[in-house]
Amino acid sequence: MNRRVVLLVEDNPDDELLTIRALKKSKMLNEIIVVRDGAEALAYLFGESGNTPNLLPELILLDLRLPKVDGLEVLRRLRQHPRTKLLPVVVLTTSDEERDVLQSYDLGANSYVRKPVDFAQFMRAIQQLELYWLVLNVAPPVA
Amino acid sequence: MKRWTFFLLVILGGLLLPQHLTATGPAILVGVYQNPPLAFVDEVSRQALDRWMRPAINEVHIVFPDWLVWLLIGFVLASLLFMLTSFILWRRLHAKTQSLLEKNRQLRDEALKRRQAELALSLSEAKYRAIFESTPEVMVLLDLEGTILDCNAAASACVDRPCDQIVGKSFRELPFVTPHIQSMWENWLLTKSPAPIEVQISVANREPRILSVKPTLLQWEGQSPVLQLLAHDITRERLTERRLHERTSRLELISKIVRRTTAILDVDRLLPRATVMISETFQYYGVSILLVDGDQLRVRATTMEGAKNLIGELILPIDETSLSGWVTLHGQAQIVPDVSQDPRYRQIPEMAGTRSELLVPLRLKQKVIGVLDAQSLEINAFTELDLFTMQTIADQLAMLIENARLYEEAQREISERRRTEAALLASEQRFRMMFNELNDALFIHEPQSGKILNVNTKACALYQYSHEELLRLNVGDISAGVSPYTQDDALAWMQKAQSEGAQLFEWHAKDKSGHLFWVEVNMRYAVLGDEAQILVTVRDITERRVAAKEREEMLRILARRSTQLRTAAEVAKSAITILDTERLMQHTVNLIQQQFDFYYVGIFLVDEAREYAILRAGTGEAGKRMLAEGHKLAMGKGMIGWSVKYGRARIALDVGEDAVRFDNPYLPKTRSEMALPLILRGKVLGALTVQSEEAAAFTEEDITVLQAMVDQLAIAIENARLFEEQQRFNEELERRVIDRTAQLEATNHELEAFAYSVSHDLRAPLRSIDGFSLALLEDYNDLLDDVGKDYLRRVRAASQRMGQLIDGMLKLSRLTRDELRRQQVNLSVIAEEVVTELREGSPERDVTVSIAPDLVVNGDPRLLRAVLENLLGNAWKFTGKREHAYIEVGVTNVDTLPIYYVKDNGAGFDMAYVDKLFGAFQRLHRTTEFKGNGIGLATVQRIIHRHGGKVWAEGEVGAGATFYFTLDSYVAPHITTQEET
Repeated sequence: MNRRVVLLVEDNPDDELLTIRALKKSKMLNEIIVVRDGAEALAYLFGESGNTPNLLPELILLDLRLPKVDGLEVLRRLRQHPRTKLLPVVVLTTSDEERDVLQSYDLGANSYVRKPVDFAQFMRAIQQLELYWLVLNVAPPVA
Repeated sequence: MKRWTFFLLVILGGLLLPQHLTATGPAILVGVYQNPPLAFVDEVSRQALDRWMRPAINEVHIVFPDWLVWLLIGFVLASLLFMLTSFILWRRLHAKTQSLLEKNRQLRDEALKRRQAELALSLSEAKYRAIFESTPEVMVLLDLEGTILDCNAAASACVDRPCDQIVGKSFRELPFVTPHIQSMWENWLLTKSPAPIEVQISVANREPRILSVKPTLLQWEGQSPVLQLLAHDITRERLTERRLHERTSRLELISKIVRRTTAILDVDRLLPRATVMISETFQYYGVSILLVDGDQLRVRATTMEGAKNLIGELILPIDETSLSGWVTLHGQAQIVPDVSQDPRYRQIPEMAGTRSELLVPLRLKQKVIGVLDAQSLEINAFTELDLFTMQTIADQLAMLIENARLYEEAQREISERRRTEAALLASEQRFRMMFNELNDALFIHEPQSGKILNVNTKACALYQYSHEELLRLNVGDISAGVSPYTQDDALAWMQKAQSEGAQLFEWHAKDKSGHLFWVEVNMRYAVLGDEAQILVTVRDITERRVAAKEREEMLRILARRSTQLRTAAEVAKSAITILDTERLMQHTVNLIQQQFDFYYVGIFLVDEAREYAILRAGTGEAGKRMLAEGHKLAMGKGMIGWSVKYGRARIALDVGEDAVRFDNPYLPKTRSEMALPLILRGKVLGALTVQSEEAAAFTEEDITVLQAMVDQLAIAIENARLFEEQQRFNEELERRVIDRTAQLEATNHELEAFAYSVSHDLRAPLRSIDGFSLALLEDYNDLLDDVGKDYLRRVRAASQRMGQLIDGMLKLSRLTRDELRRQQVNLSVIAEEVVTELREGSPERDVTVSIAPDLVVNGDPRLLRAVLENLLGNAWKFTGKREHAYIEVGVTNVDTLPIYYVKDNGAGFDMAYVDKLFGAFQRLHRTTEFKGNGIGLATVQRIIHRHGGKVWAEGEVGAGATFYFTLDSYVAPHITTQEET
């Protein structure tokens, strides 16, 4: 059986825990791989020199404010590379700065979700995302 | 003895008095008787005594001599008688002869005298006529009835009618004689005063003339008295005086031309001379004279080289087909600013190039005798002043032409008169009186030797000699005696008068006391009778000379003053326009050096430490070199140093004498030097040095003007310095603005970064708090009691509330950061949309909303929407407890600055807290009463302020609130309303 993976790029351990909890609550079947900064995310996606590349995720949940390489840079690199350019990326962030929203879409984000403070709302948002992107959405064929 | 004596006396008495001889005869006979009867003796005695000898009556004694005695007596008596008779007879004869001789001599004398008188009369009459006719003075002879007996040409010209029309008439019949003149006549008849009278006469169509009339009563034996009027035309003097101030220079030039041409009595020499002088004096390109010749105009003179061949050849008709013809026809001057635009202009190839023209008629009395024409290569070259000048010259010229003509005529007449020997009309006395009455001194010279033959009383008065003394002198004795005013020069003039005709010139004369004075001499050669004579009229022009000299001096002063003023003005102008100190100073020194013609001019400024005066500008090569060397003088050293140190002007008129002079190898020619301090508000900024090659170059005036200029310069330098400082300050300010802007930008950037981090970093922990509280509630629900669960719920509520506050703050900060995008906004439409949303949000509410239509403003639609969302949202919220909620959106004060408002009948507020209304996070109501984060009105205020408007509120607790706002006046009303709706 094929492994189905969701890549969560999140530096905040609280958010990581809460996101994973929310995803689990919605009975998601996919494996969740967590990377904690942009560099790690890129290393996972493009592999370190010599290593075989990891399994491409079905969905990337990407935070913008990240140590080392920030989320937007990750997104940009992702979209530049033929192997990853069609991967569904949902920006999941605290910011609702117009600038961030615009840049994200400009760089080819598929969706932009602001993490609400109210965790109940956050749970609903995660569940909807999961339902949409992993169940309803037809992902592009993996190159 | 006594007895004999008695008898002798008796007898002699009888002889001497023949009428008594018969009576005494008997007494003699009786006397010789021996015994004469006593009665007879008594009778004789008595008669004799009664007649002669009554006082000697006591001495009468009768004696009786002897016969010898009687004989002797008889003989003696007889002899005596004979002698007596002879003597008497001789006497009678002699007397008769003498009287005959006397008579004879008298007759001879009388004949001689008569012949002499006749000769003299004939001569004097000729002289009289010559002077009478040729004098420029008006002369009229009248009898005391007022009948005009005679008048001269000048008089005839003066009243503009020929002599024969005047002579024989009463002066009262003359048209110009006014009642005023009549009353003057009556007055004169009473007083017979010889004082001059001023009379104004106005002959039809002519300028009124003012004459100074000198009446002289001539009276001689056997003839009725004659009144001689000698009139001197003073009109021109009067007019000249009046116009002197405005037109002095022009008149000077004109009179120069006229004076230099007056003596020319030949028209063909006069005209070319006049045109050349006019052209040269007034810098006209071409000057021509055309004279009327029959019924045409003929070119008689021109200065235009190419057109010389036209002289005498070019003929123009007197009509409107040419400019000259037009001017002649109408007698009016013309300024033609552009000949190409004038249909009257007649193109003559020889005079091509002419662009503008000035033509004045040559008028003589009312007649136009020709045209004086000036041409220019430039358009619009002639002014009214030119017109005045040319017309004045033309008038003079016309007179000169006429004079020349008259002179020719006069010459002819004189020769004619000599042939016809006109009848003698006046006496020697008449001539003499007139000769003496003339206003001018008259001399008659012998042409070859210059000997003075005759003079009038005026001449005696002018030269302070007696008549006899003058007749012993020669012309050289009454001249300055210094070339060209010597005897020889005078003789040369006489020679010239003889060969060339009348001469008019100025002469330096000397009177008896040796005093020198200036006269104007009118010299004519004339042949009177058979004698050649030089007639000289001399007029004292000392005053005129002095006036001319004064005027010259004044002009010189004026010229210098005007140079100074111009320089001062230029310095002032530079001071305003040149704000670069170095350039200003250099410009100023150059200007002063050039305008005043100084050797060297320089400016020193004091350095900051006030130790040295440093050269900052200097003229010429010397200035350049010294500037390059950084020439400077220690305070107190040299004239400049001294001037700068003590703040006072220092002038050395001969530099070698001055102890503080600084020897400058670059300026070896300096002979006088002046140092003027530049002082501003008591502080010496520096000094101006002015140097001249002349030993005493600086006049009081120069110093005054230069000091004034230096004061101005000080201000200008200070201004320039201030301007530079201002420039520096401005640059500094600009730099600061840039710095501050950069700082602000940085701050803004930081703020943005801060806001960004707030939105991320502050919210993240809140989310954790809320998230884990919820996780606790969900995952450990059974481990918590109700109180524990309530606490967790409160933790969640607080964190969510804090999330909202953070969001509000972010929103507020964003409003200040984002650019304002103005466009036409219809507030009514936005209000409708907002209300629709509100209704959808709480469909259970029944709120009456009234929105005024078409509230079109200029602003940022997104922000204005936020304003309305907040205001309407508040109104919606605070009317929540009203049964009949009412919200109104409208506008007042439409005509000037529209005030928009949102009014409700909600909870209202206490006006005491109105100040807190618009502060961020300020709430007038408890959260439990009305929800809200407390930044809505702060947001509204910030948006309105960013639009340049104001916002305020009125309210009453329980009675509702009204929020007013304005937007700035940049409102385009009702333009796109139609399209928007």
